[in-house]
Amino acid sequence: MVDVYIASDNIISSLGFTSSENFLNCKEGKSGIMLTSDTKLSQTQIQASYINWSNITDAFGKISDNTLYTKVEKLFILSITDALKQTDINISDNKTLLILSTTKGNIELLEPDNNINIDRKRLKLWEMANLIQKHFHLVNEPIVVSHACVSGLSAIILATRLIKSGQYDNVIVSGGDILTEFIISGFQSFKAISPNPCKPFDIARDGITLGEGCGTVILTSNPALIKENEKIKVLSGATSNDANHISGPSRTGDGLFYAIDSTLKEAEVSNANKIGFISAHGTATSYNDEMESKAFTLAGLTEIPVNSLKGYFGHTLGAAGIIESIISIHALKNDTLIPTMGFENLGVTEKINVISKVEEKTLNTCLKTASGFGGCNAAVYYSK
Amino acid sequence: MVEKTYISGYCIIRNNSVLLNGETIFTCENSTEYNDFIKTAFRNQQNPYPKFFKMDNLSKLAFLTNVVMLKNSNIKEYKENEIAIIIQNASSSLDTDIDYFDTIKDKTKYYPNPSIFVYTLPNIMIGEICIRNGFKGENMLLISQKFNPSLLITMANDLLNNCKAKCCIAGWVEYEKKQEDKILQSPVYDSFLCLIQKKESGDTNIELNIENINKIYKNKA
Amino acid sequence: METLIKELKEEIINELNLEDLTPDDIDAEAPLFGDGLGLDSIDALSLIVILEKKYGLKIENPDDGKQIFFSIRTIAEYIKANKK
Repeated sequence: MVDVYIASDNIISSLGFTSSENFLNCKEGKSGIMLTSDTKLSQTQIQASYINWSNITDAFGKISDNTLYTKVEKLFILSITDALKQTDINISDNKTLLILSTTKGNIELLEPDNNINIDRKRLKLWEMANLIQKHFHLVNEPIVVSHACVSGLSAIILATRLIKSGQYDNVIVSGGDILTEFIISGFQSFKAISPNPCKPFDIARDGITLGEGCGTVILTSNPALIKENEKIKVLSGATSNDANHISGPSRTGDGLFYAIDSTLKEAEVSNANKIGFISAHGTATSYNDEMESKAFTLAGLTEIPVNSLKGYFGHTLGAAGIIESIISIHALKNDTLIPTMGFENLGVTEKINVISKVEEKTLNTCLKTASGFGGCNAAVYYSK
Repeated sequence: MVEKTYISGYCIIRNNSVLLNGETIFTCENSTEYNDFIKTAFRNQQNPYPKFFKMDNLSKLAFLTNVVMLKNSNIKEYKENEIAIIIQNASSSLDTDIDYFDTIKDKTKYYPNPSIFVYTLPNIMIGEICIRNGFKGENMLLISQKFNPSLLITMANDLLNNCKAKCCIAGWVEYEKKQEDKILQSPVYDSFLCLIQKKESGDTNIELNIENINKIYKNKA
Repeated sequence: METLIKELKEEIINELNLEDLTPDDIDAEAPLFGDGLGLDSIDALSLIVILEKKYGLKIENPDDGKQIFFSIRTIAEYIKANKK
């Protein structure tokens, strides 16, 4: 049986340009969410988690020409570059694969005034992925996972399965999405955006806060590439569907329960109380958080400490599963529970154990979950 | 030891025709617009579902392909969480992305439309199939330049051999918008879904391998 | 009022893609959601867009929609009372 390890990782978000910077900011209770009145993004002022783009331009200028790449392409390239710097995997052999996860990729190219020099064919996600592949001189044709808000976790699950099956030794998994008028106006038309920074699982929660970012994890079957005290494994993972409604989550939580149940069975977890913590999706919409509380109850996980990281990063869509996995992995390595920013009083029907303050505690495993439009759910289980 | 798996049925929709297991079961004249073709083909199935008409072009295509593909199948033998769906395409939801963008591009006529926005994710087509049939198993939506049968086979076999699913609906569902600037005069669509399982059950029982799947996808069986 | 009701029925059939329905099939008094016409949460949001686009009426709080969108007649009454 092949084990799958995390060789290295990177996060680029409103909270910093490396994983450790992002983790530290979460631990210190800093949020990247702020009020903005950029009319290119929204007709009205909104709360959102923005990347500092002038810093991206500066950093990207050192490795390539800023005018030849779109915003999200720059994020992918910078994030993968940083993750590759921290590991010795062989990227030029045919046992290394690139998987990208994104919901809307280069959707900003629909706007004729944006990136006038860039070929519109890069609206096609596979064209965008080929460009990233060429930048890193990777041999294999890349794969793109575009599966709403579970894209990031689905990409990690797919990568893990492809390594376990022996087809690849290393998979670079990178997830990114940027804030655009397209995405913001869509969520506004759903009346889903909170006027305040989001409050996951709270009684006063009233909607999501959007964010942008990119996260990269490099997975490998080669334990020799990882320092002994830093070994984190991807033990198992699964996806599922609610079969309920294209935009409304299940009222029972059974879909997410199936994904969690399949994930824990694959990892042969006999006692659920051994799970160190759960990093939930926790978007802070009324229905999502309620659904998750029901799924965790169905799975017998009400005692397990649970957080949502949306209060730090906002909802970063195709990047969310990866960014939030990385924070969770660093929480494991540091034996630290990260609280749910924005949470004060439990506001879901089921009595789940939401983390409200930083706590140092021996942690061996964690469960990451996500759910999204189209009724999709995903879960991944990490361990030391 | 990897066990053999089989394609127990498949459906193709392209060129204004619907084919079940290689046989044409419905066809419209070449000049028929996609919208009329897909609706007429759906009505021809005698399987009323008013929500079908609310779907975008891509979801309609996947939905109808699945309805036809499962017609004579043994899918009812499986539990809700044992049925997986893996779909690939090239253009994601770009057809509907452009339609949604049309509702926001003119600032004097700025009416973001939620019923279009919800279809700006390609996995919604999987969601529509799951809702109609109550399927709650594994889901995956992948984008690639061309139909990639090798990846599809690896993924489906992985699910079936590792007890993640007992059967898998898998294939390629692509819809590309007709463009004003004459690159594409008419929409390009191409849909292929098959049912994969370990059992030899169903009409076709073709052993799942690249050669066979390519043959039936190209309809040269 | 009756002209407005007919116009609304046509608009709703068209915008919500209620294929196979004609204005005469919709009872102006019957509930639009649940057992009546069977509309869902996305349709409710689309009705908000129709009111804004066609009649210049903004509904900020989706909860207000519950009374306004009870039936075709309640929508017509709301439009009549609020249209400038």
